[in-house]
Amino acid sequence: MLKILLRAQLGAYWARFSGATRSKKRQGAGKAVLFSLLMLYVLGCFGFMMYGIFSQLAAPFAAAGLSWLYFSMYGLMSLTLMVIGSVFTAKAQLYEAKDNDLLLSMPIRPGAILASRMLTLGVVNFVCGLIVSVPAAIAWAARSGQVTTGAQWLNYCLISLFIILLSLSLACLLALLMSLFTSRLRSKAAVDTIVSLVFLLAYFWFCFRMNSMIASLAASGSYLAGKLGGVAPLYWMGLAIAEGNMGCLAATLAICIVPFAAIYAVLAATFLHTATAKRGAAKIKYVQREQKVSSPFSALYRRELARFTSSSGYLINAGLGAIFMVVGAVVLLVKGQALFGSFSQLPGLAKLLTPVLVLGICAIAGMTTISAPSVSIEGKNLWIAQSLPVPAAEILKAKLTLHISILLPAMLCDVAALLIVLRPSGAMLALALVLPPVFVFFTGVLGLTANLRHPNFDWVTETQCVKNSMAVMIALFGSWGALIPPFVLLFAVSELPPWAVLTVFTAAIAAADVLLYRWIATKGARRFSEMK
Amino acid sequence: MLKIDHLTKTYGDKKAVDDLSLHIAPGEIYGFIGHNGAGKTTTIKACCGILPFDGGEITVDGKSVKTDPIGCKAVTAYIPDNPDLYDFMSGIKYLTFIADVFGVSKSDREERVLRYADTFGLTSDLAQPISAYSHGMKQKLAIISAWLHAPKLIVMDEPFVGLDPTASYKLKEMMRAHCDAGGAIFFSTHVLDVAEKLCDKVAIIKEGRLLESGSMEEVKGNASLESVFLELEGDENA
Repeated sequence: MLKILLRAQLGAYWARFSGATRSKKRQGAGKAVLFSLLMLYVLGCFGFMMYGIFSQLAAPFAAAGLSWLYFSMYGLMSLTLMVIGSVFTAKAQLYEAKDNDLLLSMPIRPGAILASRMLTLGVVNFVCGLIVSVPAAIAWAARSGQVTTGAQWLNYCLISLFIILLSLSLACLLALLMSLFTSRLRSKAAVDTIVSLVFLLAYFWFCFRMNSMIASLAASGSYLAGKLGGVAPLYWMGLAIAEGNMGCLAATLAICIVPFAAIYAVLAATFLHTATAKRGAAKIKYVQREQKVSSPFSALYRRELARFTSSSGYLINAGLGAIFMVVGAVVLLVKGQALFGSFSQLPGLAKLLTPVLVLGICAIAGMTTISAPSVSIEGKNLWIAQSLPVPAAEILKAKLTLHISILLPAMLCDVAALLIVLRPSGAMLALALVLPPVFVFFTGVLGLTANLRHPNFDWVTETQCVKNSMAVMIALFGSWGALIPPFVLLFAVSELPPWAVLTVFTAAIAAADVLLYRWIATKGARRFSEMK
Repeated sequence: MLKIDHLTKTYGDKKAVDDLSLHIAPGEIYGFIGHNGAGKTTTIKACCGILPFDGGEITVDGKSVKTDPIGCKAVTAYIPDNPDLYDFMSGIKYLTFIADVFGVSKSDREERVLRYADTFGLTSDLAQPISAYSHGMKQKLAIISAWLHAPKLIVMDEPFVGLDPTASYKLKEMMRAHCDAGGAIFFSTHVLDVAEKLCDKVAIIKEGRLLESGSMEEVKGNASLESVFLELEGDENA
């Protein structure tokens, strides 16, 4: 029974990532292989990043006689990645699973359900752990200049495996806290969005500062040893591997096993209660107020806005470009002079600075793909839009208006920052003001056209609809692809004045805007009316 | 009010609806009966302008669904078999959205929301997100949204599924009141007892073709609707 449950859990997990649909169509072998290769590529990228970090630490720590610190750092990094990688899954699987009623109605012991979920989490942790453990081991073997015995490697493997239990304990506790917190909230999407943004910003912050942080770590090994040496479990873990100390190994394993056993026992004892508990935000009692009347178009626009802001997956994945643009505007204002001051002194580059930045802003705008999944995301609610007494073109216009109303203000922030920092004049000033709105419109109509031509209502989660769709790919790469010719012309054909390149490009994009918009309002609207 | 003439709809090689003709007059509650996959939902969706069809003509209040779909939708309300509403809205926001799109005046919407929500005991839940609603509550909200814009024609696919007995009773009352006021209702159901007691006219469909239609008395005579339905199904199978 456990095997069947585990297979079902892992299958669902795989389906969530690989973009499997609700339809009975089997995923083709080719698609599965491609997705596996993509996963391997992503894991490989993270693995190389980890190797880069640990290879810089191995030699200085080994030379300073702080081998234990290297392995403590490894343990800490591995534990952090595993907890981050599994806490959301733990929340969904242990405390908010939607198939509890179904499974409990079957002749399955509750213990088997819990065990299958915990094993699934264990597999997730194991994969996250491999991203750190393999590169850290290779980096140590290659760069430390020390001979590591079989016993030491055995301890390394044992700790790498048992640390999964410690990670599971922490993930279960964190997930419980998150679940208790969010279950009483009315706006879960806002919390999910904030948490996702914090993780994303922390990731980018880490990536940007990684080299200096690692250099600082490598240089301050002794100081760090003094600090971490005081944290006994980390010290024991380091000693268990670095010196093959069996006492420290036993202590480390105990630290991994005991909390897990305790948490598992509590979860097992309370599983039925957890699985059948009725959660939900406190009921909001309706109080009759004077109702506001608005036009059909305004109602359609508000419907699009409500859908966009209620889904953290839609908001983060499709609206990322707009967020980056606002951040970019601030960076441009604060660091612009320092970044571009020296460039503007060079005669060859000075004239390219404004057009390149304008095109760069357009490239970031291309990351905003709000309109691209806006048709597919209607999903099982499509009947409502189709039964309304409004032309389909109006519904599509509302989708386009949402895209523009989110992206254009963010874009204008960047344009304003650019004008303040670079102070262009004449034709370039006019182009810096005209091209961005024209390009924003282009990203909107391109995404909407792509979705009308490639709709997919066969999705399981909104995030899947927003991320795994042909329309989003076309919108993203299409808008970036459109920027290649002007970039190439600016750099490759120096005889052409930049204002001329941008003028022609603006005219071409404006023409594309008109053509795509006309298609949406006519053929696209007909397609939308006939979708099923 | 609703005129279906020689409606034909195919999916690939399969004829889902085959030369179907029905006429629903103002004041009539018209029941549509058939086994699963008989073509009821396809017909209903075609009547509401949601599903394009291959042959025939459908007119609502004298307007063609093909040439004037917006005009038809403006006087029609549709309730699907599964009330998949906007989970990201609250009940009252959904009703406001429908009222805005259908151009319901401020005073009318305030009065109707209160009246129908009270009828179904949903008033206190209107501020709740629809995602927190049960299936029955969603069905009630879909019904309220249908009545909210005072349509001339109401088309419903299995409207009683998920409703509690009180709500079913209230819906039947509302249906009768709507038709007494000159409106028309066309609905599909598997609950033959309800159809027998409620409908003025009934049509029985099988594999896309009309087996029988007419007033309840004409179709069932002295027998029960259930026995007539089973007999017709049996004859076709024989």
